[in-house]
Amino acid sequence: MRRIVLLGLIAVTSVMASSHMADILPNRGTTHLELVVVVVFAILFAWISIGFWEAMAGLLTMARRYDRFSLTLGMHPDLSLAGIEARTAILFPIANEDVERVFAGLSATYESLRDTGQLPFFDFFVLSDTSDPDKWVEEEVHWAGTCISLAARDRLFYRRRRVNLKRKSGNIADFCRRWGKNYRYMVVMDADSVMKGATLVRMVQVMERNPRVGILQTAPLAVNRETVLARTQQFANHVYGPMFAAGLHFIQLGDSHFWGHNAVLRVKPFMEHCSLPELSGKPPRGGYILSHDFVEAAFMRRGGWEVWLAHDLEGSWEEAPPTLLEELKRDRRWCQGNLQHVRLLFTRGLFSAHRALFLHGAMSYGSSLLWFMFLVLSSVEAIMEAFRTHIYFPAAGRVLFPEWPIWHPQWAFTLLATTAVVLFMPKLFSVLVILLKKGEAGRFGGAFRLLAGVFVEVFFAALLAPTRMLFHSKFVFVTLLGRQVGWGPQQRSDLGTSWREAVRFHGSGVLLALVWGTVLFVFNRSFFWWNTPVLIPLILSIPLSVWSSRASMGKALRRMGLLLIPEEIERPEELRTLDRVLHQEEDPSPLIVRKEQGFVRAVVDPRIHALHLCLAGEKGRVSEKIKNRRRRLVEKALSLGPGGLTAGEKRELLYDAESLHELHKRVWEISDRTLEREWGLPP
Amino acid sequence: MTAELAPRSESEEDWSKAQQRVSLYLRLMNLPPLESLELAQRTLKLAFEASGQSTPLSRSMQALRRVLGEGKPIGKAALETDDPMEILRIPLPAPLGRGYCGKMRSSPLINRGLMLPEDVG
Repeated sequence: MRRIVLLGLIAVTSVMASSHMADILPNRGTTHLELVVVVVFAILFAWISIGFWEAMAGLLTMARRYDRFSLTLGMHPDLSLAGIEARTAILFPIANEDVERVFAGLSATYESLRDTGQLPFFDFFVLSDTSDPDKWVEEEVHWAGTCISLAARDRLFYRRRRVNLKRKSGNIADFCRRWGKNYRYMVVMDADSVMKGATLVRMVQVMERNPRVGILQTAPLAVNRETVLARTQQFANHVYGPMFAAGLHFIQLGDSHFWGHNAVLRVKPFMEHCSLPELSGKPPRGGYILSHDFVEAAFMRRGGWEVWLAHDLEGSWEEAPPTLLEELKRDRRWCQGNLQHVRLLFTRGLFSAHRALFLHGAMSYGSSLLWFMFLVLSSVEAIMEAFRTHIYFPAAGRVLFPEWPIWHPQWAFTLLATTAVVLFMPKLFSVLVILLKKGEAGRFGGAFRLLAGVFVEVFFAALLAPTRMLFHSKFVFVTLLGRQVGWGPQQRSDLGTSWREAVRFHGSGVLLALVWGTVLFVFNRSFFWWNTPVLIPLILSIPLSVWSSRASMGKALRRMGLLLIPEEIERPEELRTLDRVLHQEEDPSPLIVRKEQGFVRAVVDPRIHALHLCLAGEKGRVSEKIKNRRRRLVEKALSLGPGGLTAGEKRELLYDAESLHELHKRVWEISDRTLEREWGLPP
Repeated sequence: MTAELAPRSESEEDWSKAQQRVSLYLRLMNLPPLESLELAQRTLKLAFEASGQSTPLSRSMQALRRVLGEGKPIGKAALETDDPMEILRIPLPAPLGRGYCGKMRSSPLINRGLMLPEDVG
């Protein structure tokens, strides 16, 4: 019923807006071109209406303060799992990530869980798909160090896959096949996730209390970043996020999303129903399913298990991409994955709600292409209009008065205002919810700073929207053409974007905007002015991308009290632990090796060498040919130093305990000054 | 100490470097200073007594591995425990092979389950 009402509201508003749009056009939408413009506008308006009505549903849920569908409703405040036999594995699937950050987040979560007294019900797994040999060793060192510092022996495990089949989803499936039977639940984390121990315990309690729930997703809040872009997103996530999440919960109920992390999953049904197939055909449209989480949720639901969004559970955090370029790189992967879902739309047995989510996911990027098309088509219409000679007497000789071309700017303004209401009203309501809740505005630095922050966020969002639109359009277009994208690690630190990088990425967009603007300016000046909110940000995209990536500017905004989030005003214990672990000084090594030089450390440092050999385990026999190749690799490493080896060669040596140990022994006998330096040995 | 014992063909500098390298290795193993000193002394004595064409540095490092491989209690005791983290506190035993890592493991024993790909037809 809720979904039917939502559909009805979206349809009514979209039809009204698009008929208004048709009225504004010179030929009232009667030409082919205008008809296409109106249809594209209708789809776009329907798209933004979804967000609007979802937010209104969220407002309703929050205003009532009582949600009969809340899974936590009426739960005893006691956080104890005593008497529950269920064990839970907390998984950190990683691939070439910032190792320090991963283990700091894990430590923060672990300590918080320990403080609840419920640690014995949980185990932690770091599941590595890392291919970088240096990071591989770094992970082992951090795993061992974390086991010592947390006294987490037999509770914190590390597993690295040699073959990264099906990436993250394959990594989780590999865990399930090996140890899934030992656990009733698993909590999947992201490389930058942190969760409060009490939240984890509560999630398990909810799952125990609701035996039909297969996945329980929390709504993670973005924290910890300092760049302007990330701080605007953190702020938006904190101010508007809760209302949107409540709205999603209101509409989706047990057919909700799984976002791939900060969620608890019931292992047995997951193993029974959620193993992903390989799609026929080549990537990007075929091959392994990339955005696996949506599909896993749909399969879980198909298997008869509910998927819920626990919008009211706090203590779940993640981090936002620090720069626009990092965000766009991530979006390109997501875009490819989401478009792949279109192929699953008609999969047998799926719930219609999840088919709609597949479509919604595809539209998240497809809408950008439609917006781009809308702008292009309306520009073409405007240019044609400039060349068209108006016929004052369409039925010559039969009418008394000429038919004057009439342009109603007030209609256009009304439509613009309506669109603005649909886009910005939810934000306004979110702020009102905060302002009306006693003491809540103080968590954002006070009412004035909250409002100023909203102004800054809206301004930035509007400035960056055209650039995002252009890139997303390109991603959709390129994916539809069948070109694949890489799946590199995300940069999760606050390193800014260089001017060179920005020019390389945004140069073509700037050029396009300049040409586009010039053509409109020459042929239809009034339409040019209507397009300036898109063209000017595109022309300024290079400095915008660079400046928004600057942590110094983000910090300056913070000092001014702008874009503050509650975690910056009163740091939760878990995030304080995260800071502490991240800033821990390591004992200085007598070797001249940076800690990032994992391969060199595994060769030279006796303890790290021993640790690596133990984790590498005993391998089967290999052919003489392979042995000879490895011998040659050892000789190469000894003559050229570690810099002379490729990543693949380093990996091969790390896999083979015998070769690595031979290298270790002989490196310690090196007396050549240059090679000593290469291997980090003091002269 | 070593300079006085060095034959003429091997310079004082060579032996000094060998001594520094042995000390560095032992320091990286986090051994108590006195134990470390004792091991270094034994190592260098063995290296000096050993004959061969190799350099003092090579002979010293080979001697160090022999000394460490003698199975001093620091290593053996640790290997007999099932504490995986002890590996960080023990010297690297010379021979690799079965039992070298004791009961150390980074993941639990496998409890194999099945997960077959879903049908999307």
